[in-house]
Amino acid sequence: MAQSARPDVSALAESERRLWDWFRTQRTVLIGYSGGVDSAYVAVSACEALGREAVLAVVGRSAAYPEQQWEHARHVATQFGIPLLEVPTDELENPRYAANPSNRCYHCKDVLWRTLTPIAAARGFAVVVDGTNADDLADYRPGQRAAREHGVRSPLAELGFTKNEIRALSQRRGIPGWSNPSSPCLASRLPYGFAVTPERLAQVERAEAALRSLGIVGNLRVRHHGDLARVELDVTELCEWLAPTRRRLLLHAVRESGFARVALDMRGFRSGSLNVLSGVAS
Amino acid sequence: MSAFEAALQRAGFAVRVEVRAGLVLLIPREGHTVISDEQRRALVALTAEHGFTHVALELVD
Repeated sequence: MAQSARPDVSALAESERRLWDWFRTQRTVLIGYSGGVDSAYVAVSACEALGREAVLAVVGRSAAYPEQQWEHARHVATQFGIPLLEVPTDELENPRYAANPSNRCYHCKDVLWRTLTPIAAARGFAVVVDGTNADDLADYRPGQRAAREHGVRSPLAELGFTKNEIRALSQRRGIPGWSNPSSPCLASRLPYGFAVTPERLAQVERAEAALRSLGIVGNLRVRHHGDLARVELDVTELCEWLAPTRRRLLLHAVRESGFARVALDMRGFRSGSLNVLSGVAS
Repeated sequence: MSAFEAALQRAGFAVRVEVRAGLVLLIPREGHTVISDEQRRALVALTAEHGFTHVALELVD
């Protein structure tokens, strides 16, 4: 995905100054960190504002968190000297999460923050934060309720940072992956009501990795419909992969990941596509 | 044949149809049917007109 940096450098610098002030008011922060664009920027900024000893980035690991994402998260942490802790989260053991209701994200984040807030308390961190940004507030995101219930703060959203601003600031700071597509957890590929299992998540992860290895760039989702994998690509990629020879490559790559049938979505990638299919968003 | 399938046929798409709630799956009758971007957009519009939120083309050998 080719994103361009915002040209208004002075406005960006002012936004970043306000963020640093916010961190300094808190003194110490524990960050729910995934290595995605938003939480990576929060972690790098917190370290610069407060010093590394006042920051801890914590990754909650489960089958819904892709291995590639973990590798990227570690890479960013290493490059910027961000103190990093990995903790297992057991959301798949929670039947209310595993049943995959439309508020699945609430149950996932509830487990995450239940795990992270005691760590913050035990280690003396003043506040727990996440990478939610101002754009996220307009989406269907039941996980935000869990954050509020656990007292988790969202400095990027509170200060009005949009995704484009975060990308531009991340580019300026040289944070790897600043232009990466959004990367929600693997469970987001399963329609609501279709149970989340480690096996299904692994199928999706294998299929998406196989498609990336074919050279597909930009947004990519393999939606799991049981026997059927429905592949969503950005429209520019979709037009290229509609060619018969390339369709065959795509078919075999996804089949080898454990799907009996494979289909290419004709509308292309849509964020929250399964929310539309389930009727929780239009 | 449903009204939707008849509309697809009139538009020149040689496909079978499998409906899964809001998703309509199109299964080519002749293997690797060539679909241009213009045809893709026409398919999307046609399926939306018939009340489907999602349309996907099954890939076959």
